[in-house]
Amino acid sequence: MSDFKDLIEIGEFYILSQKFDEALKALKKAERMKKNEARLYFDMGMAYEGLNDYEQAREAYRAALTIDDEHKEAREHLDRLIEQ
Amino acid sequence: MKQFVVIGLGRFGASIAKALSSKKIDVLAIDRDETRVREMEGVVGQTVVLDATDEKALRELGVADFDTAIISMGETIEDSIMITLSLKELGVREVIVKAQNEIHAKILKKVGADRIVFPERDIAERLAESLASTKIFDFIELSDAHSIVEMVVPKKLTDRTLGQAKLREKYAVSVIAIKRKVPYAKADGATDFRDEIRIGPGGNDEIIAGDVLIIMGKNEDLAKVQKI
Repeated sequence: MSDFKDLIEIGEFYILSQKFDEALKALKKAERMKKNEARLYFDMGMAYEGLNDYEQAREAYRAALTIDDEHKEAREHLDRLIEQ
Repeated sequence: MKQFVVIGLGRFGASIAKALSSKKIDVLAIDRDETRVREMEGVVGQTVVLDATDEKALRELGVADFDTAIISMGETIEDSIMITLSLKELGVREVIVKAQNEIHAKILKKVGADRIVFPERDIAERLAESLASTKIFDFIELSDAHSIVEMVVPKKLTDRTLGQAKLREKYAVSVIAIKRKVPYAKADGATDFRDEIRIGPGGNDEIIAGDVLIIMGKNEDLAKVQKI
């Protein structure tokens, strides 16, 4: 049984490997363990953005910013997606 | 979900408002004619009797918050030009306008219309189709019968080569480019995406989830691909 941090790292590895569906599987598993982590939702946003699912990506970046309103990258990605 | 405002509820405006609404999309329908507005009540989400050439009224209504405006004014060319100008000034991201003729279309483009449509092409249904589809990013008409669409690759076609996907054999369409978001680690360790475009991909090129395919073909064949 992987712990939360492992799942996040697995998710990030899959994002870098362009396996966005796999990344989401790991990240959703992580979400079931802990919900108040901005990094988790930022990573989810990245995976959805990689899949060109901008609606879900925006939602995930917003969730990251709700937890940490100073998350610079989530803000940047969200701003960029709103402009599209 | 995108929000649409339809201005002018003649035959074209009313059909597109209905078509979008039937796809569970939020539509605000506006006309200065109360009878036309009343006919749309209960058919679309919101209706308002308003003279859309009045920029102040449009601003007060909050049209700037809508993603897309569709202007379909049958009576006068001037009205649709004025309204296009107002909407762009108010900051509506995408303004689609029904044009009466080529000259009208040219003026509309000059004042900032993002897309022009001609009613005689009976486009209402097809436009609603492309707007409602989250798969379709862009749509360029080459002729009455042919188009280029930019669509997110359907799940069924991922993790195989373009040759294995057999789009040309099965649907008679050509993939003219593949756009891909490639993740990379920035100098500060953060991850970001850069866009890569492969023009004229070959049969051995792989398609992965999230790719955007730019496909050219007959409209009826493209419609089939969108349903994969």
